[in-house]
Amino acid sequence: MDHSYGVGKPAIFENNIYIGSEDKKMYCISAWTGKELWTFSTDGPIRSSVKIAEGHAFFGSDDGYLYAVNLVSNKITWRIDSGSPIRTTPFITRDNIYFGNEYGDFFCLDFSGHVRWRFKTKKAITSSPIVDGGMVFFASLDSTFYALDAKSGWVVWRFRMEKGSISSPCKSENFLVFGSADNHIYCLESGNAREIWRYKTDHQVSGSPIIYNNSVYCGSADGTLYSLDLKNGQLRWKFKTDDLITGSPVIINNILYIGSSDHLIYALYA
Amino acid sequence: MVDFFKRLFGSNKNNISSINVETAPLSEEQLKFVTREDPIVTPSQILVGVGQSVGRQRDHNEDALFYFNSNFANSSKDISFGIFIVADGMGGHEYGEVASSVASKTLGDYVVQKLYSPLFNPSSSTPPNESIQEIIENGIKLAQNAVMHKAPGGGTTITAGLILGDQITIGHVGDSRLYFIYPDGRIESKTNDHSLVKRLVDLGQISETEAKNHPNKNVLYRALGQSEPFRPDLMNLTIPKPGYILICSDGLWGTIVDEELFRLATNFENPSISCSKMVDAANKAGGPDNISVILIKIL
Repeated sequence: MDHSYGVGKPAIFENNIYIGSEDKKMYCISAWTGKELWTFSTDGPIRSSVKIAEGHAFFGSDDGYLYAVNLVSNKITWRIDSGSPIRTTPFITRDNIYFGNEYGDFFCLDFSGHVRWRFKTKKAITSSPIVDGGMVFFASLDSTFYALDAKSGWVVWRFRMEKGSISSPCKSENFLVFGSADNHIYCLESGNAREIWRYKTDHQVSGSPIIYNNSVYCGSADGTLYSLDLKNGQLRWKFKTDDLITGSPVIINNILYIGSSDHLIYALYA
Repeated sequence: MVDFFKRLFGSNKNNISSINVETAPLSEEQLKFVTREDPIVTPSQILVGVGQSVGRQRDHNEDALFYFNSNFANSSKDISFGIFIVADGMGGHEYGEVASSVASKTLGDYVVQKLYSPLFNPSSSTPPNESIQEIIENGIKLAQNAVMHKAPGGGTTITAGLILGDQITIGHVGDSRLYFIYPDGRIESKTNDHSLVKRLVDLGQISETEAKNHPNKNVLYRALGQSEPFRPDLMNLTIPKPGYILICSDGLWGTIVDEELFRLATNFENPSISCSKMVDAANKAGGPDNISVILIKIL
């Protein structure tokens, strides 16, 4: 990865780090030494984050394929052509793999790579799905947030935003939180799309929020990281950086880490 | 000859000692064969019982219930389908009876047309354009129009549960109820009564006990047939599996306490017998109102 860079979120499994890169390769790196252990090449840049399950690395590529690569042999077990770049991170359940692509198709596969069902939205799906309580949740650039039945792919409900979204949702109990290019952070009731609250930032919210200790943490392209009360969306605190925030924060031991386009990583008390 | 009998009855000491000889361990493949788990039985089994009674203090029945369920399973899909509706009518000149009947039939017919046909029709496997919750909402809107047209002055509650796979979509207006009953003893109402009394309880102005005997306990602020626009409550939940779903009018839940509902729902193998016992119990407790119940047992 000397002259290129990774845009996905790295996966860590058994002391190894797995990350895709713009140079079309998926890298396996030792977490202890930082040395490259092996790579796997695709035909397009890899913007999807890697998910590890069942002894395999699952990830999408801009070549349109979803890959299942065996971690022991480092060889491909199968790949499926979705027809368009895959930039979402696949969500893996006990039985199925869920992901969307830039053509607006959403897929549910079994572990053999066979399509169980597919669903079409009107524009690209860059928001990574989450599956919980028998439902799949994700946003689309067609300005709609979808809740599908995980088993059949039928639409259970949909929620209209003012613009599209590439923000991946997060969920705690019945609170479903995500951002949108309409500048809002939304919180919906997961069972019926009832809007619990919305919070307006000063620019697009393309990063993905996280929920921690009844608070929502989310960055915005206005350069600010917001901490909101999960129950009512009221501002707890905010932190201004010098450029856009498009990534997602992580919290470890009550310390929140967030990167900004000002080239800095910040560590804040949550 | 002696040798023959010795061999036959196993008195040969060599034979006895051979029992203690250890056999070679089974291979992984052999172990897999003898220890493999029983195959999982699919699809989900749904048993349904219903019960209805005019009660002991009313002279005619204004409740209605409707259910329709089916199942499709093959190697790749296992989809159970069911629509279950209870409606509790109100209003003079028999309009309550008409309102509950027309509302439950309208919603039931709409859901079957919109979902059942595409689901089980081999030439049309594409899902409808509307979401499942939109279908329930639109069906309730149609039911509202039908009540306004065919039962002017009448009204009805409506509580519907649509089961599709492992999900139930609930559409609800009024004070009929839908409960989840779990084998571990929990019984939880999943609907919110649209009654003035419930609102007073929520506001903390009266207690649950006072609500039971409140003179206005039957007054609803939301019902089909009312002229003001409203939206039904909609909710999706994962079905209790194993467990039960109970849908009933206030003639049942207003008469029998939750513990007794749990006991009657779970004590009998057949949900039809459970429903019959619940209706009997409500009548024995005075039967002040019409009673309708649907019990769905999920194995």
